[in-house]
Amino acid sequence: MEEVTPFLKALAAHRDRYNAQFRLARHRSKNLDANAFLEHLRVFVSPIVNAAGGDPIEVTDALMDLSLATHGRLPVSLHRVLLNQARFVGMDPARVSVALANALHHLESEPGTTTHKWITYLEYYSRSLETVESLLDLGVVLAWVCGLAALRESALDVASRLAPGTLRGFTFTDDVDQLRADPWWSPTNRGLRIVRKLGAFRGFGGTFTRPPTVFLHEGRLHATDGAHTWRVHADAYGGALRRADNATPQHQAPTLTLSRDGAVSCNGESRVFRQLAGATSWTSWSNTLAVTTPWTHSIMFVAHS
Amino acid sequence: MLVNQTYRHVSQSPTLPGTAPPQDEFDVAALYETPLSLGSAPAVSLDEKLRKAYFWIVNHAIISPHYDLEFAEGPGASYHLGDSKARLSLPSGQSYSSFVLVPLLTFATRRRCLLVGGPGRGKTASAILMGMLAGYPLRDVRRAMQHGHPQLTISDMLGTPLPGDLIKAERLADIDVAWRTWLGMRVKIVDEYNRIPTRTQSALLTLMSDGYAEVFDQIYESADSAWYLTANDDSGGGTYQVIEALKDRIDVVVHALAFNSRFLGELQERVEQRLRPEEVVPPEIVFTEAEHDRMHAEILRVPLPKEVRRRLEFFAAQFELLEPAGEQFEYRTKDTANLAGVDVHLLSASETGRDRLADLGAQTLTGLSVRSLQSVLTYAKALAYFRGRPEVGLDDLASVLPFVLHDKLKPNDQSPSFDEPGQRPYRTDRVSWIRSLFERACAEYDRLDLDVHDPVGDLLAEFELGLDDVGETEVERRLGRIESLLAEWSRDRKLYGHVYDDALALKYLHQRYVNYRSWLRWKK
Repeated sequence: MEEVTPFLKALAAHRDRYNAQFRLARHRSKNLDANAFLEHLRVFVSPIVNAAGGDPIEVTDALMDLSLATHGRLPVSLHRVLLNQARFVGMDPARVSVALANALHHLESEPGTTTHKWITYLEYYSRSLETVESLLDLGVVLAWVCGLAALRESALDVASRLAPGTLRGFTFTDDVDQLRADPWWSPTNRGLRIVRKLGAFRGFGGTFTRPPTVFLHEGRLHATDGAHTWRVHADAYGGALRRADNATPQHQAPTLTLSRDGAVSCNGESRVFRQLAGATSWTSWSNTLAVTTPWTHSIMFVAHS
Repeated sequence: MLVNQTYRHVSQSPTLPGTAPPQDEFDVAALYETPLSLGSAPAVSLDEKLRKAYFWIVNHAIISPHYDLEFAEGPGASYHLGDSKARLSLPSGQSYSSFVLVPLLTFATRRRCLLVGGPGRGKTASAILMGMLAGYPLRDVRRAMQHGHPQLTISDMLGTPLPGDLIKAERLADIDVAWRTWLGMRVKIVDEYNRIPTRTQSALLTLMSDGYAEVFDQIYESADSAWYLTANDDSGGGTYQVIEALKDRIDVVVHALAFNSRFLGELQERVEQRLRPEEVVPPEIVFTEAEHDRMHAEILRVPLPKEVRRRLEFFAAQFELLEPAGEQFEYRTKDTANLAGVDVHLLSASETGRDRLADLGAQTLTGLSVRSLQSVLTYAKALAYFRGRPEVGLDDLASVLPFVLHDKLKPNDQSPSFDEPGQRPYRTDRVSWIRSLFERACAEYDRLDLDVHDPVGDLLAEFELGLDDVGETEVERRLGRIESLLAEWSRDRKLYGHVYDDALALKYLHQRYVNYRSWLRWKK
């Protein structure tokens, strides 16, 4: 005889409502298969509800909404995340389940991110956490470290709220100010060096249709291929391009300079990078130089630490 | 990849393209709050939430593929079909279904809406959805709905005195009343209100107009609410004649339009799958009491520009004048004739001098009440708010007028205007009739160039500046202008409705200046 689990109790208590929800969802999505959805409830939803604690009806409601919103096609990785974080799902079912699903979606959508690392680190470092807020703070900082470069500023804002030692565990420092001041900081690398290449030809799955050029707008790096313009986010952990068609070049005094033959100079130090020779555009701010050349659809970054 | 398109999900913002700024920064909020959203997702303005509610209802809940509230953003196409050359217009702007939007605006402004149409057209379903938008459980909304029937008593509707108190009480004040729970709800639904007996209608009138209920000398102060009344026959049919005062309290009337047979497939699916949209109203479009209050306040703050208000003034002025109804100038109105029980049409037929085809006032048996004008202003603001407009536009005003004045402006069926071939349909299509009245009033307003040349408006504006430091010489000059204007009109112009109102406004100004002049002379 099958054990009456919290999930089964919730289903029994709100059978009519869940059935009505499913019928409405199938009304809009003809491909929503009843048997497949039942299997999804059994394999995906049930273990999480049973592990979550809290009010099983609230947890079931939240996961049912999430499942219907995605036509029962939730990624396997989300199942692992929600199961790992089941006690937090039990605390605030709708908020935690949707937030973690969204975070995972953003990580999986951004090229170059390490989703597996985010899941593993979240599982490891969340063990000592007590509240939903602290879990979400940790998730943001980890998402940044795992490659969502666009999250840098907001992740640094919440990084100081992490427990002592947690930040050091994956950035090698507890000093948030240091991470904020130097986007390319690492405990080992020093001097002038190429730190990142970002962007690719659209024909090969990248962003740019032509080799881009770079410029600063309101102190922030932008790139254009002539047809469109993007805001460029880049640091030691990742890079991202976001459409920003209203940006226009604005002059700003350079902090690093680039000669025609590829020599980068900063504070009396100089180093030649042959791949930067014949640059079509370059711009610098703080300790970063961004360079484009006619030979590649990537933006190259040089840092000085 | 997550997909965000299911029945329970509402339209994504912005529902009006161009009303929300593009998002440049990718923030923590974006990590956790998109693409899937929670029901309590913040940062959506209430007008956007109202639009989301509208689109959810038309896309998922009520099959109403009608876009009779048309708005233009540039030129639009139109085609004439059939022998009658029925015009079908294809609006270039975002247009709406009145059957959904008007009840929704009623919800937002907490006014009173009458839904009319044949049985089974979705009137009650629409009202129930409004109750769901207020956050009430479906079961509560259904239980709170009052069903009109010939045996409905005041106690059935309002509350019952406690039996024990009835026996023991020595005074009426000792009798406690078990009030019906629906009295405290923000959405009140009265189904088939024209089947309620006359005496019970009077109790309903008190509740609707004054916001309280009275049983056995006990008073219940009712919450400020949106009212939805349904009737199968808007011409007062049913078991009981609806009392005029109750009809007059209804702010807006909307028709349930005919079912479009092309959408039978949709209906079939709902039947087969036992779909009940009201059971799964998305939380994103549910308004808390605080949000409801705030939305109402925001609507009232939408500015109504003077230029638009002037058009409404000019339109409203067309209908009250009835020259033969009185001897004194102020009493030459349809109201005077109606109070005396004299047929307005008979009196208006004896009028001479005015073109009865061109005179808009000749087409009605009544003028416009203050209450109806208040409703016009409120709904025009609500529509502008819903459309995300910074202020009320002429198109907002023109769109709400037919629904607000539907039962307020009584047509004079015997007017020769309705015999004109192009205007014959107006005998039955009151919405189009009122719309055409407003269009013709606006055309006349433009012909008279009143936006530029408005001497009465200038005089009123001058008076509005105040009388501080205005000397007797200036007062005499202004009085002279008023008198010369009236003298000019007495020579050249026929008396039309707007001239009548202007003449009374001039008399008002004249009297204010005369009193002020008397005071100045006494002060000396």
